[in-house]
Amino acid sequence: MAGKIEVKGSHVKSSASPKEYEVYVQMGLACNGCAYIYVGKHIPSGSFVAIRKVNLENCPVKFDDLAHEIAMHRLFNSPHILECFSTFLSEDTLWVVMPLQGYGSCMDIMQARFQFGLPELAIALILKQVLEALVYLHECGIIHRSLRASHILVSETGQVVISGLRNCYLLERFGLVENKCWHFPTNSDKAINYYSPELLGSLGVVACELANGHTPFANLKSYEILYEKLEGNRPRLLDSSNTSFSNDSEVYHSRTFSTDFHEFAEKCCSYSPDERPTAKELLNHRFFNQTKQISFGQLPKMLEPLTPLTSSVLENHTEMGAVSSVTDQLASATLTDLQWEF
Amino acid sequence: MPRFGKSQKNPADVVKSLRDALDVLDKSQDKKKLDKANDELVKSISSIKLFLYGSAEQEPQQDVIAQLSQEIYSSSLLHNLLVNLHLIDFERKKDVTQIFNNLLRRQISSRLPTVEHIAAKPDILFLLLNGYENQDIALHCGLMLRECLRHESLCKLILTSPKFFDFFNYVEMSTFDISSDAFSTFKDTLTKHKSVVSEFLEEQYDKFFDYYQRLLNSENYVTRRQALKLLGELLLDRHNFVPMTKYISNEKNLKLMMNMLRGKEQKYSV
Repeated sequence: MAGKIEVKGSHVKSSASPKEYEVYVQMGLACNGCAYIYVGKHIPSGSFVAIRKVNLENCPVKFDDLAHEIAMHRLFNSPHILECFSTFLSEDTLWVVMPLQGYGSCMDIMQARFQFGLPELAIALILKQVLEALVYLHECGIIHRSLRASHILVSETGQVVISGLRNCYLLERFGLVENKCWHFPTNSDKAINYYSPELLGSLGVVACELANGHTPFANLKSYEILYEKLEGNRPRLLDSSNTSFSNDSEVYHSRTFSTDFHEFAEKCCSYSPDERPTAKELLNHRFFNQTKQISFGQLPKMLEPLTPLTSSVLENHTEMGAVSSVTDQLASATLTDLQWEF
Repeated sequence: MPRFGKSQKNPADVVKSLRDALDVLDKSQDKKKLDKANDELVKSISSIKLFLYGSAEQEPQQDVIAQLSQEIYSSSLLHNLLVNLHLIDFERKKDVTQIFNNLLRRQISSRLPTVEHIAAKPDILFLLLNGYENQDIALHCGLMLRECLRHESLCKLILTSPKFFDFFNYVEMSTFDISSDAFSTFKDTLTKHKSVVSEFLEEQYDKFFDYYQRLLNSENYVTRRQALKLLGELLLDRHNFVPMTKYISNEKNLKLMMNMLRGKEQKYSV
């Protein structure tokens, strides 16, 4: 049962009509709140999916951007990039059918159970998969430009996918660029080297976000953030080495991250692009040595007591004909503040 | 060719082996042969990319590129690749798109050799257009077609062909990503080269607006909305003054617009 969703969605792909889906409960918001994510079921195959509905009539996001995002999801084929099974219109609402990600985004996970950040090993497992996706994207000449915890989704098996390709950027060299405003006269390879370290800067911020449970500088106004950055304050991992018992939360003070993790975050957050490594180099960083013996299948264990929205859970309850009560329970249990950002 | 090391073939060989591989993929049923042809295909496509883009150690060589494109034109490889695009694997389709668009941008002083090549073989354009009928290659064909439309001569070839009217079917496809891609190509065709378009609109006024009417009355919300927006752009363009006056002097059109304004959708703006 649980394996059903992992099957590549070829059977779902051809189903481009709202009649072929049963929609249950809303599990989150996306697109700055103008799109809703629902748990749904593809009726012909019986597999569970996530359905994102956008009402185009009152959507502040530009239509072309939405189309761009979907085209991007279609052009990539990587186990760590969110796949898009099918898209179609029903009246003035755009439906996007995607595989169900049982744990939602890393932001959801932290909001539900890990207010002070995830354990280091879990972060390593997540970031390793994110980096694999980035290596693939960079090879395709794509820069993600919108990497953050809410764009990193975790499936019930612990597999991680990234989403949020709406802001991604295609480099000229790959012949896919359509907007000439972004044309770079530089040699193609230089353009990549120039850009990818910038992206990995945001990876450093994501690492801090996952470790601390909140986004660095999130409580400051934008000019204050700029000031902090000009002052040379970088995002950092909060633990016993750099927090004092009195001002900071006890949780931060009582834990210690490995020096490898500190070095990893520091490297990514370095302000000079030349000092930042490429995605491929980062994959070989010592920080990931701890993940060598284990696979991403271990991730769900580390996220306990959080339970994912698995197909077997949904299946049992739909069979009993108690869909609405279950989904209500689910909604009140872990899903209330879920936010999927796409 | 010492500059590529010993294992590298020259452009002529690469083009030939790619052609042969495509041939096998198209005709053969034998699994073993197909696998072999696929390997060959992957190899030759990556060597073509290497010729065009160079590598970290090696800048692309102009004379090699010239030789390569000569081979590609004379063997009509572009045509061949497009005919068999649906047989090529997922990642390689993107490579083909890249190669195509790179060649298209190639310029020798004021000449654009690939554009001339395609203008002489308009089949290539219509293969790309027909690509919208096949879900697996639609987006790739769209990317290549829009690159072609940047050139006036190619845009004119499409506009003057009856196949242009196929667009009216493609923009209403049920799959959203394909229909919206088709619409952006359709829009490019009608807005990129003003003088060609105004000529076309004057000549084909009746047929075009007859078809266009269907888009405005479409069941599909997005088609309706985008068609209306594009209509506004077309009519307000100075180049299209003659068709515009003709359009607004028809009372039926006024009625249509009034009815649309009355509709409940708010995003309509003409």
